[in-house]
Amino acid sequence: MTRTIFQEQVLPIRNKLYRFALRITGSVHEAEDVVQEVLEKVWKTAPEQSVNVQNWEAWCMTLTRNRSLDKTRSQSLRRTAPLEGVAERSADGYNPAQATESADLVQKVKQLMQELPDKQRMVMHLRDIEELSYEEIAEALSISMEQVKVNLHRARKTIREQMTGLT
Amino acid sequence: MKYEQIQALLDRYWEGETSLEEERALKAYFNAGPIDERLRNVAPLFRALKEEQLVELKTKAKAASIRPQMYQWAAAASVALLLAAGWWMWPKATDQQMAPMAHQPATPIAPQAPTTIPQESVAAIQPQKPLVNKKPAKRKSQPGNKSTQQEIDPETAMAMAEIKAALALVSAKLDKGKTQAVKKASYLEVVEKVPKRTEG
Repeated sequence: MTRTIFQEQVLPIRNKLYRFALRITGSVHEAEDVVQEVLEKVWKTAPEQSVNVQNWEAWCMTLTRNRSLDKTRSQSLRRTAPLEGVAERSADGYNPAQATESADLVQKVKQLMQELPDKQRMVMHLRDIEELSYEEIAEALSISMEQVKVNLHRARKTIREQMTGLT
Repeated sequence: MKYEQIQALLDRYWEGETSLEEERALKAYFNAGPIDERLRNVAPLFRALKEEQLVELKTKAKAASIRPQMYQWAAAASVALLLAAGWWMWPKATDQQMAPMAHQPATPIAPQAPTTIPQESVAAIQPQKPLVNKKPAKRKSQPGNKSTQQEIDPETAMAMAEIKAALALVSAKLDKGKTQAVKKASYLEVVEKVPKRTEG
């Protein structure tokens, strides 16, 4: 791992890694730990191994997913926990009266996403929040494109169904 | 964008048929100006997605994760310092215990000793004699110079050192306990929610 690659390709995606870790672990603290560990691991990658890495972002995402899943398993933490730290974020950009009314619904939708099964949650996160292509998602999660599509479809369907129950 | 356009995009979104570009258009629509009333019920989803995109690793987080390590080093350093201090105090304390008896006759002589044996002699003694001898030699100069100020010193200093050591230990334990408590607390919060979740 060279300093240049690290600074130009790995460091800039740390927020992305953090959001992904947060999505899986549901804990700010755990997610911070995961990011730190992943960055450390990437930094220590041996030169001969780093030559083989074509796509640093996908590789970092895979490391983040594995590490996050390890954490949730070892701690038997469930990520159904409401995402910490996002609750206080106010919905801005539209009129305040609507905002307060809908801010609550926005939180509920976040909670619904957090309650999706692992794979669906990860796929939906990478697509709808990180805006990755199906290929990139397949690579990051080491699953087939077909699996990506199926899981995304299921995730959105579940969210849609549950959202009608909210309003 | 018109309602029909958005509705068409939405239909394709639910089916997983939209492109990234179209999905961005949906997010933009629901996060910008006024929304068509008929689309109000799906707005929270696209607002949630937008908000989640803005979540960032706080710099505070970095500091927090470094701090425990700093405390460890600080604790280790203070323990080392206290050990060194204790080792330094030891000969001084024994010195002072004998002092009451030796003091009255010794005081007139003591002030002379440091003036006549400054650096060269100390340097000369150092290599030959064991370390312990060096300490008393240095110490003796102090009772002579400032015996009135230093009378309470050795015992108080020892006591202070003990207290500091105890406090450092307590502080280290507290810090460790706090991090563990935080972990446990978040764990408990999470455990409460486990039954809600459905496996898939």
